[in-house]
Amino acid sequence: MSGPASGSGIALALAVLEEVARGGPTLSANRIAQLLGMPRASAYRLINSLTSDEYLLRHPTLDGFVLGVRVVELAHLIAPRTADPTPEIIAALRERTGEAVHFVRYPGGRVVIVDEDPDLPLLSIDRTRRQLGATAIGRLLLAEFPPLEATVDPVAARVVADSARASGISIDERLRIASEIERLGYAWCTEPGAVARACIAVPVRSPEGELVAAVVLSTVGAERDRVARHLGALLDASAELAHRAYAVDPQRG
Amino acid sequence: MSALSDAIARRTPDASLGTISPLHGLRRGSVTTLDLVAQSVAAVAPAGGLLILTGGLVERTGSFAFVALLLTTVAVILVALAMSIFARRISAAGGIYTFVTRGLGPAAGMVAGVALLLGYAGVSIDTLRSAVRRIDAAFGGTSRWASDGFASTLLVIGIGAAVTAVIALGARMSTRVMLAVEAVVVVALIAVSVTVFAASGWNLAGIVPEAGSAPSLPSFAEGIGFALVCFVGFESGAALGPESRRPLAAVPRALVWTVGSVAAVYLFGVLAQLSAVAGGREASLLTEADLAANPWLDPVVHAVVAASWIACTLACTNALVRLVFTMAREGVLPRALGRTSARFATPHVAALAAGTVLVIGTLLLVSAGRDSLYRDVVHLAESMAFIIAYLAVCAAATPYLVRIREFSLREAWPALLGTLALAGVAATEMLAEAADDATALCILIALVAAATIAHLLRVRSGRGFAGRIGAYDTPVASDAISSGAPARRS
Repeated sequence: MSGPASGSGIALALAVLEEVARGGPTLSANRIAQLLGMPRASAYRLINSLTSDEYLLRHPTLDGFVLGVRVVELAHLIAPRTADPTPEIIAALRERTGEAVHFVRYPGGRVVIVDEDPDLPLLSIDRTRRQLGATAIGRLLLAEFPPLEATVDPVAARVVADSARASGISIDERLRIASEIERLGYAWCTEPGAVARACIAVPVRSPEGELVAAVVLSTVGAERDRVARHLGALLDASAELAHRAYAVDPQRG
Repeated sequence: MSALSDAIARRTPDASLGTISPLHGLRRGSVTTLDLVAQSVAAVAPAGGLLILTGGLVERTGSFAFVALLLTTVAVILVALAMSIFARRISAAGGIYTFVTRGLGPAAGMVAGVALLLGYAGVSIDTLRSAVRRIDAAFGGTSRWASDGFASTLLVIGIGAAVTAVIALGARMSTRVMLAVEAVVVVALIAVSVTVFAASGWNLAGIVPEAGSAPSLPSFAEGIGFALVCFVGFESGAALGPESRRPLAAVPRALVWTVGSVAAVYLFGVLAQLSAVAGGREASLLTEADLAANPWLDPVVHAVVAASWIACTLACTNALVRLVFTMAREGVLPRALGRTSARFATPHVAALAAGTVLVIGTLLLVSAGRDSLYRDVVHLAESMAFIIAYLAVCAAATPYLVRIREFSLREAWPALLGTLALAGVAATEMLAEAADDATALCILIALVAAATIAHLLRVRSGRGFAGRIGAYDTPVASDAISSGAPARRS
């Protein structure tokens, strides 16, 4: 057997719900069993148990099932009830600036790219993650954990230090980056050459002042002025994100 | 994005479903699993059953009493499992009537439906009559079939009115009170059984039947039929399904719990009896000698048994009301009976009608006396009607599974086996009854046949009637979220 049929009970249950969502109320229990490659008797038992818990409802006139409103409850167990405002804020920023805008998070001292602008993607996701000194995104993270200083998150500090050492950044270099970012309040970086770019990363901080994410804007062409004029918009977006997405329930992940 | 998360994100009601259920007006989710069990247990009235069963069964089948009861228990569990096949899929106030209609079509459905109408009415009337007699006895009355008592008439009307009011007002506490009464009585009877058991030195020899004293096959079958009667009503919890929370999970559970616990009580009671018989005592839990030794015991026993019978009347009338309500919603019975109270969300018109039938029927029974044909018909309805309904629901389960294309032997075997077992019991009971009291049997069969033929003629006449029968509580648009997939039949 392949696919969901070899999975766990919960995976099977979700696979049944997915089939019903895709196939609509004309899909019989027998057909669902066929589609999932399950033995019929166990498929019927699973479907009946989903029906008795009212995740599925039997359609009275067609020979199939519909999704019960309880699946919405099920979804709320996994995802928060209030919608994440981040995509909306980032979309508005892209609209307002007309430039490429990315959104990243920094869980546990690592770079996670949450929303990469499809119109002007990052040059290299791998480089952004590993070569912290080479991008505005990475420099912001480096500056958060200045070397030889006490930190509230020693595990994250260790991860950042290891990344910096692996990409050959010296302690002096790190201290220089940290002091520059402390002075400016944001990180910036230019990339001269054939694919010239300028990039600016504004931190999003939790109520405790920790770096949780960054709003990143990059332009074609390496002129610093071109990115700097969007600074106001970036700072607004960062403040709004800190207020709406991280104020009540600080999310690190 | 998956189709599932897409559907959850959009969260639009499913427009392929109707906006109201055929059973609209009843309050969904107002009844708990405990209430379902209370309804079923009260309808079975195990306390009354235990008092009758122990003596009666040992008298009919002798040393085979335990075996007979064990076989009966197995048969009833098969019926409960066959019903669960339906109860896991549809939630119907009509109970077995709706299930059989869905599985075997309108003709068989009507046979089961009329049988149940007669059965529930018969049990309600007979238990109300017995309750009144017990109350009379508790206050020192001696004549067992007094027909002239003014007090009896008042009691019948009073209790009948109270039962009607409780059902119409939806007093949920009532069944719970009745469950508590049953529990106390059963515990008391078990305590008596334990005493009896202990007095005979926990003699378990009674389980093993003595081959030499085997009863004749008819009397053995009669014993099984008799024991089966002590379980009737266990299925009535299904009638409250549409009003319960998660009915498709709660109803099957309540059915099996009821059968299991009632069976355990009966088996223990009969075991104690057989132990007493082996010890040379009478085959009844409380002997004349016990009662003579404790003068206070007699009125207490009468009062407690009366309470148990009133619980049974209430529960059976309740199931009867739901059945009448369902048939009225379908148009089988006058539409007015299908109305619900806006304030109490109960089928109050059907309750009033059933209450009236209960009071008139009981008064007739009181005045008709012991040797009347009417009493014979009522008594026969209490057993035969349920055996027919149970046979029908077992037979309907497999065709239903095939019809909805969900047949699997793993689920269907109890229903198949149950069909065979119940067919055997029904045939033997019919033969025994035909030899014993053919007139009552003929009247019963004539009633069922006439109603079924009339029903079939109406179904065949068209006018959209066929589409309405077999009504159950269907999901409505707001219960479901639309998947976005086309709802057309492929």
